[in-house]
Amino acid sequence: MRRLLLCVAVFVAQTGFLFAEPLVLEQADNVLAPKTAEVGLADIAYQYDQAKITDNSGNTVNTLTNTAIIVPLFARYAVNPKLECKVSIPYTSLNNKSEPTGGASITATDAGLSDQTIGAKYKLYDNIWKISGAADINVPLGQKSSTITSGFRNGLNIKPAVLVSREWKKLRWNFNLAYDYKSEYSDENSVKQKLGDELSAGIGAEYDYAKVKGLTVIAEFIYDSLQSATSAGSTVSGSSGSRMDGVIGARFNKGNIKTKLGLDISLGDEKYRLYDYKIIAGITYLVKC
Amino acid sequence: MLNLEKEEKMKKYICFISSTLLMLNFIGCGDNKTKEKLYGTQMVTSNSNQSSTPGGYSSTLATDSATMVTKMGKGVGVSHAPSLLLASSLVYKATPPGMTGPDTNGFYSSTQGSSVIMVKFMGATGNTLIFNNVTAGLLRSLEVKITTQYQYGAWNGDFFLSKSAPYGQTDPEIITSGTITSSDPIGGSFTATITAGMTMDYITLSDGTKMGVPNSGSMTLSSTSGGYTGTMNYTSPSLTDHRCDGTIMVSTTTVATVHLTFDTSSTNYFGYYIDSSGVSHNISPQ
Repeated sequence: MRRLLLCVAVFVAQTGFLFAEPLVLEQADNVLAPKTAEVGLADIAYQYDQAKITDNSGNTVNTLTNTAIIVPLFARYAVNPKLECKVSIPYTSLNNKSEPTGGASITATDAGLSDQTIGAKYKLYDNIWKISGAADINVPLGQKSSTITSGFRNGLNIKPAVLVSREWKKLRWNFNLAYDYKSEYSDENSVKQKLGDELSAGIGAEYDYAKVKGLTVIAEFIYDSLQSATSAGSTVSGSSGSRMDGVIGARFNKGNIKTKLGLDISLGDEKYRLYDYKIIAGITYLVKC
Repeated sequence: MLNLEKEEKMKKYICFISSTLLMLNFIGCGDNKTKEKLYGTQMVTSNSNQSSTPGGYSSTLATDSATMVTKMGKGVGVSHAPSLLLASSLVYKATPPGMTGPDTNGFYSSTQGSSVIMVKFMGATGNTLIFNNVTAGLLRSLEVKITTQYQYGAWNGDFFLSKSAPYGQTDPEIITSGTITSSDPIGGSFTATITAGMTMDYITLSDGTKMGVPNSGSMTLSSTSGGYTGTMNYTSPSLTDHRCDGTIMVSTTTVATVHLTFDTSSTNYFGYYIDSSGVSHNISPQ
């Protein structure tokens, strides 16, 4: 009986750890048990950005408001205890509004399939410290937009990353270091564009909320250093800079169902923010293969 | 009991979620003001003229149209044929075009040498666009006003151009209407009117600049003194052969027939005209 209880306890503990997962960052350990798949909508996002373009006197001459709803169909599979693969196929709805001061506002909208992402993570070291190598590839098969240039399709971008995790002081800590290499691509108008490469460093902590089994509270901080972008072979002046993100949220896992909800607040210079805030949600289902 | 427990857990979860969403109330307090905003590779900026000007790719269209230059063919008496060159479209540059505006009528303006070029961007319904990358996809037509000098004096042009697709590089840009008023060598003035539907080809000059040259269409000339009239027809047997042929008349008498070919090095037309006596006169590139 004791052995049985011990087995159950170990299984529950392992499952709990496997289910535990950051919100935006990646953990070094596998998310899934081997031969298990996860499918669903993993990173649903609503993001909002408003930028007031000012003149030298500080007067607002134009207000640009961009919103996006991103619904990615997600699948992840644990090949073995060391290797996980994933694919994400996002459907995106964009709404861009320009409101010149004293002029009529203009709105551009479009919706469609965006570039897909495929990725893999391989565990390199597994002890108190857990270290993994990972890579995500942006596959430029998103549709072309007739109204919002580069709205859905960019280039073949490759993002290698080093992931480090460990437990300390009742918290699970995750550290990510990634370099997102953005390749040049031709936009809808056959103009060569290259987004700026990004060096990202992130730290996050997870805390299991004892009063509600399956509930994990998460806080993360991410710093992005942006390299210069180029357009038609020319460097875009002022495109090099940095931005930061503060993320809070929670995951709630029950049985084979995983849910998450979080709020990502963009910090730093408005000039480089992708959004002012982003609401992140997800619901996925685990399948034993 | 189990249901009550589940219900309690869900309440706590939802409560937690709600509390995070409440933070949205505070986010609205953030300062969103900026003089520049980076969208991908595009920089939307405000210039020192205290106006919002397009930057990055959005500047392309402004630059395209800002470089729309109409030149006159070299004078051949009254028969000098205004050869319309649209040094236009799709000069893809990441640098701002140096335009200011818009003014109260929606025109951005640029001074290039002795020329003042004003461009208004319009959407599908003729609505005026304040130009930036957000609105680039909505562009369907342009109005371009040009005031410039040529060897015989000043002239003014007012053109309307439409595009079948937003700033597509390969789709033809069509001049739906255009008028040039000028002074002719005799001292009067004339009006050149472009017949609606003139299409353009885009050719690449030696410096890499894309230039729009009439592919098909016509233009009529009418002088306010001297009784001269004329018609110029534009044809293009191939992408490297753009021609302008026409006649100049006084009343019903043809005083000159003009045959011109576009020269990429001088970015103008040259060729010859035959006067009423049957004598041929060369028209050299400017």
